[in-house]
Parts: sequence; C-alpha cells; structure tokens
Amino acid sequence: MSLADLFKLPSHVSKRCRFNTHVFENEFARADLHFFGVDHATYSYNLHVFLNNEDADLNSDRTIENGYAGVVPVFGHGGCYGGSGHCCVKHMSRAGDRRRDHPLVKAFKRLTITETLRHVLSGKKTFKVTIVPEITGGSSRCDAVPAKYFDRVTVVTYD
Amino acid sequence: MRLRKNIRNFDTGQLSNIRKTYGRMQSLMDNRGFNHIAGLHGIPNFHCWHHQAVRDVDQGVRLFLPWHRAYLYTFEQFLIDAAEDEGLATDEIALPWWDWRSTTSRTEGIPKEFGDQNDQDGNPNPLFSFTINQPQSGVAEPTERWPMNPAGLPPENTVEALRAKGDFDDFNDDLESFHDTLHGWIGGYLRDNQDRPIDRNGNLVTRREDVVFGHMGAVAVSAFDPIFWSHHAMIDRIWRLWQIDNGVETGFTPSLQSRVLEPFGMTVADVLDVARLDYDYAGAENEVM
Repeated sequence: MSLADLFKLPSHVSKRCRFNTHVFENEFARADLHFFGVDHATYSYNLHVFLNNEDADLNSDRTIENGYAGVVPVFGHGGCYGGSGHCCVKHMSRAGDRRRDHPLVKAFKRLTITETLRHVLSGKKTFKVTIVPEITGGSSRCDAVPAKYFDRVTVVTYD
Repeated sequence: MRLRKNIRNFDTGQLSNIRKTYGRMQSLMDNRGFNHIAGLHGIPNFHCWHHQAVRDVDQGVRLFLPWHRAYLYTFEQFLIDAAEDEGLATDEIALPWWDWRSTTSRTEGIPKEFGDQNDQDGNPNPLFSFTINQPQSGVAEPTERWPMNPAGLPPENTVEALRAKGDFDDFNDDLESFHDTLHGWIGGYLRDNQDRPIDRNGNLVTRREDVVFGHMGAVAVSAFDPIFWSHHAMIDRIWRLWQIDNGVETGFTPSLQSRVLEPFGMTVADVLDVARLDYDYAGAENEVM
C-alpha cells in the first residue's frame, strides 16, 4: 500500500464560482487563492489545486491543460509533545496579556493561479476549485489528520 | 567577515573541521550545546515563526525569514565557540549551505557530507544524525531521514525565479513554500523499493500511525537533524541575494522592524543586514598563499 493509499483523503470541491463580467473577459492581471485558517498542528501536507477538474486526484497530470494551478505546501508541527491542553490554541484575549500568540494559531496561505484561471475561463463563465491533500511528513505524535485543512478559501483577482 | 560556503566545495580539511565542531557542540548538554539550541525551534521550546499568523489578523506578519536568520546567527556563534574549545582556527568556521536545486543535488540527492554515516576516519558523522535528548518532551532518539527522489527537488532556475519577484510578500511566500517542500522531501519516510511504507522490521505498513517519518518533516523535531542548519542557510542565502537586488529593509515597516525575535534578544531591524551580523555567503574559500 502506497503512502497516498494509506492516507487516502477526501478532496475538497468548491461550489461553482461566478465572477463579474470583466473577469469573464479575462481582464485581470493576476488571480490568487487565499487560504484562511490553515491547520499546521499535526502532519505536514500539500494542497494540490485544480481548476475545473472535479475528479482530480494525486494521480492526475499536473498540467495547466488538466487545470492544475499549483501546490500549497504546509510544514506541520508534528503533533503534540506536551501535556493535556498543551496544543489547544488560546487566543490570549485577556486585557494586559502581551504574550505572543500561540504558535499553532491557524495560518494564512496564498497561491497565485493567474495562468490556470485564464486557461480554464477561456470560453467559460464559471469555474470550480478542487483541492487534493497529500501527506508529506509527520511524527509518532500525529494522532489524526486534520479534520479540516483550512477554514475557507477565497479567489482574489487584481486589475 | 565570516563566509558561509557551499558544503560541496569543502576540501578535506574544511570538512573535517566542521564535523569536529558539530561533534563538539553535540557533546554539550548545557545551554551552549546542539541539543539546547535545536530545542528552541519546536520542542521543548516552540519559538519559531512559520506561515503567517498573528492575533486577529489572518494575513498576519511575515517573520519567517528574520526569525530564522537570528536563529542561524545564534547557532553559528555557539558553533564558533565550540571550534575554539576544540582548538581549531575559527576564521573559517561558518554554517555550510546546501544548494538543493543544483544539478548535482537533483541527480544525487543529499550530499555525502551529510549522507555518509561515518566520517573519513570511520567515526560517526556528526552531520548525519544527532541523538535527541529532551526528556520533558519524552523524546530520546537519533534523528533519521529517508529523502525522496532527487528529481523532485526544486528546479535549477529556482533562485533566479525567486530573485525576479519584485514584491517581498510574493518572494517570502514562494521561498517559504520551497522551504516547506524541502522539509518533507528531506525527512521522507521509511519505505521499500516500491515506495511503500514499511516498519522497522521491513513489514509493509497498513495503519497510518505505523508510518515512520523522518525528523525533518515535522516542525517540532526538525532542527535536531544536522542538515536543518544547512537547508536554512540556503534559504537565508536566497533572501540575502534578493536583498542585494531590492534593499535590506524592503518588506519590513518600522513597526515590524521593532519586533523582538524571541529568545535571541534581537529585533527584526538587527538582522536585516548581514553585514551588521558580520557574515556573507560564498561558493568556496581556499587559502592560496
């Protein structure tokens, strides 16, 4: 059994995204995906991003023709090495608490997808995002893959 | 000015000296030693900055590069101390860097300077592995790595492509992505010749929890692998090259520059210019006369 089979993880497929008219005409200079609330507490992993390829998986060709937009690698902490509650993220909202945030506060990541988005939009007016996770590292303290790799994803275009 | 050099260009004497120095530092179990300094990254002390995260601001701050520059600088100072204690000339003692996108790396993988289990005299190679001793975290084990296929290393034009990024945030994010990828690549996992995970007895693994990953693949323990420091020296070198083109302060507002990089007692401003830290990067350095 390969590592990918062992960690066979469900892909995330977005709803169909619809933009305003000028984006249909590909008049954007740049397009990014913004990943909010990225979990980095346990395994290290990649998020492979495909556009308009709902069936994409880890065996899919990573080409622009296949909708491949790139990868977001996430270097994970490797699980908890402390006592009970050690890795529970506290936001330290008490007045006067000047400590640095908990280092496992969820992260922000972004991926530039300009060329692939232009490619998949040509002749079409909408698109879908498929995100395929792949485990790349970990430790004996990783007890579970993240229940959610991220909280939300937005697409941002720039004129 | 201290010069950090490409480890593939080390001559026999330089390699012997840096190995002796790492060995000395690894033998120290107090706060001058490898075990202590490596323990500032993940366990037992979790000071490192990765990704972007800061209270209530999803898009956060990018302290990945300055924090690791302060970390490498501090490690290097203790390395020089160890060389002194070992009776070695300290002028040439500096962190070696590993060019993971070179043609040689993309063909051969990890340099033998790190990959050989023993040094030229048949003794254990301090650059190959270190035995972690962190009882408060319940970890007492040698670091291990099972690097992936060398063809999967970043392409040869990586440095040039990164230097071409005009915007610091773009540069930082892309460089950090290469950094993240490399950690997973170097650590890898214990596997057979068909890339199937196996346990230490050679049996095929059928449960996720039985996969044996290399230490470089997890933030908590990665800094205990001696190659961590040379992987990060390459990251720091690329930032240094980008700064030559774009200025040392680019990307850091006055407010960001005043942030303290714990636990090193340095601010972001203190580490922006490598000249102020009295080091730079070179391919090689050899005495000719």
